[in-house]
Amino acid sequence: MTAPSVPPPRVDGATGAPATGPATARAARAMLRSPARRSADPHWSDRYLPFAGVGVGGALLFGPFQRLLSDLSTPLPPAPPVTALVGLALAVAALAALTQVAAVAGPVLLTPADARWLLMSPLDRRAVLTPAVLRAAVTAVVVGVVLGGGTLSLLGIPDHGALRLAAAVVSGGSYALTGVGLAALAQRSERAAPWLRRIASGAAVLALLTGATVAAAGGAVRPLPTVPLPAALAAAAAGLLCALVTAVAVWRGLVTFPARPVLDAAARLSAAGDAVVALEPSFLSRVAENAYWRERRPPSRPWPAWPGPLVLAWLDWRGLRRRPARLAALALSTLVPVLLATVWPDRPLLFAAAVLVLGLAAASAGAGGVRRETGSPALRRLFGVAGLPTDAARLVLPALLAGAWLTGALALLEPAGALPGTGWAWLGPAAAGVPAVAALRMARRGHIDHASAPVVMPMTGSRIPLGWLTWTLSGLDVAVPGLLPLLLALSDPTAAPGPATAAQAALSALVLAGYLWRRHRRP
Amino acid sequence: MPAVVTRDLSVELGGGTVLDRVNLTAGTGQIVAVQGVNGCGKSTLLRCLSGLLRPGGGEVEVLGTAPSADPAFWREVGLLAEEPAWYPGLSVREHLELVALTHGGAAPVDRTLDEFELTSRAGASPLTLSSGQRQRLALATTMARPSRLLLLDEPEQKLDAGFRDRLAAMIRAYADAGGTVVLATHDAALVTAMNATSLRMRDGRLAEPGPVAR
Repeated sequence: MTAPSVPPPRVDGATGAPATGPATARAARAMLRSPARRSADPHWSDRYLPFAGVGVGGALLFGPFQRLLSDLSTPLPPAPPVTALVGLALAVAALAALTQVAAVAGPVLLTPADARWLLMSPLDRRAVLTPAVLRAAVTAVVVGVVLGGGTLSLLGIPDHGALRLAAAVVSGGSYALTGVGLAALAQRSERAAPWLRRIASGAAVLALLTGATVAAAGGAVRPLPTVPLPAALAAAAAGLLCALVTAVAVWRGLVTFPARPVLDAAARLSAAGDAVVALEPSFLSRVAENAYWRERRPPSRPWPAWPGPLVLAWLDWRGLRRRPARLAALALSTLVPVLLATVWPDRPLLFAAAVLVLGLAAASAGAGGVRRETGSPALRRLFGVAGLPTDAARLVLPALLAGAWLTGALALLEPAGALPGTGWAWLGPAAAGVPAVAALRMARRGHIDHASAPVVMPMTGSRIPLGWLTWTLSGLDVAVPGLLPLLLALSDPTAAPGPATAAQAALSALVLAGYLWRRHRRP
Repeated sequence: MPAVVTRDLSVELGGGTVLDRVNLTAGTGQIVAVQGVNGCGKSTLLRCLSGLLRPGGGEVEVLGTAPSADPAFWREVGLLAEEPAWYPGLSVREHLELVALTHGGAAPVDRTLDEFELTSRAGASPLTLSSGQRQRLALATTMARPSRLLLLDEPEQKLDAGFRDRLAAMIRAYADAGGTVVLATHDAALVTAMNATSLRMRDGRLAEPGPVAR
């Protein structure tokens, strides 16, 4: 064995720079992007998906502005008072939600590897954190600009189109930047961060409830007075000032930004890294659940003396009961479709999509146990309980949650005038089984299979990996066809609820039976 | 001046007391090994010493100041805690080169690879290494760069018996050269081989509190 040796420690007691100084963060990042690690000669078609994504995204984002930009010299009438007020409430809620998401995610967020190798090093802290801060800032500005443009399209442009548009986008961008900046400042402090999260949640809830109240008031709402141009410009200037002050405070604080909250955020990112936002509520819920229980001690209660499958299913009931805020959030989210229907009454597909997505989210709240077990096969083996009774028992809670959520949402849509006739709430229990099956299917899909065989596109010759596609479609492949009677009825202004309820109940029974039969055949 | 001092260090997590008025002093050139059953507070103590956990009470001094976990702190302190997140696209050699780049003055990478028995896997991604090899790489990235204090949380885990002896000799050599080591361990043989000062921790309290005699 050769004589072991390690570099001589600094024993001179000096705390200054070492003889050979450490590199800059820029040099370290350049090394991480070393060309040696890149694949050789990428084909142009390899860039197809990113470019197509940016193109489609840009076209979608351009939509809200199209009407504004078409002719800024022509006065644009405001939306009906109810629509404008509800839209304003939704914009405020979105701004608060952005701050809340930023506070939960970081917003000063590094990947776990960067946090380990760059943050816990002698590299200049500001240089290490600057890219993360810029990412958060750009995201905030983009979201804020879209919100500002959308709000202006609701309030109308009586005069000075270009100035009003500038004021709207500057206001949106700067207030969003201020919110995310405040989240970055709060991230430094163990006391401030929970307070900011509470304030942002409270603001979002208040805005949603205000919007729902306005929507319920309907025709009784008076038209909004026109916002004078100086007031709009003053609001933009105030927002800009707030954003500047916050940005300077964040920038100055980066030098001494503590490592612990960034490491915590990186750990949360790591925990959420195997999930994607697309229709996968576990992304935020898993992060929030881990953070919630890290600070608390769960009460120990004896398990009921039931058969194994029922006890295993009871795990989800118990978990949900210990997080009453989740149930409250689900209950509150039943307002979202009615708010969307009030702001965009001519786009029934929009609130139908919201019903689909949020109904799935409600069912997914009862599938946490399956999701955890999918992520950890050892956990599944630990219980040693499987088979048809287990699958059937685990369907109950998701079905109950989805049924209750759909019933509530449809019962609210009916009096708001978004649906013709009466009796829509019966579609909720009739459809309950389908989101439950879809949620369990989503919970079992696990990680994206990046090793799946790619499909070669006949026109371009580029290879499209199938793993992410099958992952995304898992669950939706059951939910969309299984809820067709409900979705078709919601998007048809002349539909009657009776036949749709009957068709939906029959289809739900079919989906449930098919799911259980398939699980029985191939456990 | 002692490299590490804690006075009445207390920590509460999740409604329970994890550290209870811990008094610890580690002088320059000393190896202090904290032993105890799982959950007794060893890792929490190291997290406090590394500045990654703010104590609920008491004082902590590391190299003369409160641990700050800022860049100047990491220039002097090496921490081995749970397995780090690896860059999947970087090889073993590149991870070591990155450490050499960010810290400056690190040992030559080839020598480090040889000493930590990783030469044959230098071109591999850390994700393809065995768990023991990954532990050796984590140790290499912590020890193969200049520092004045090493905080090691169970450095012996997943290592084979042969390499444990080698690790003991490395840590002993580090301390003999003037470095200070505070480690948490379950391996009594390692403590003996390092000729370390052993402290017992139980339910968040050190069984032998007070200044540590070498």
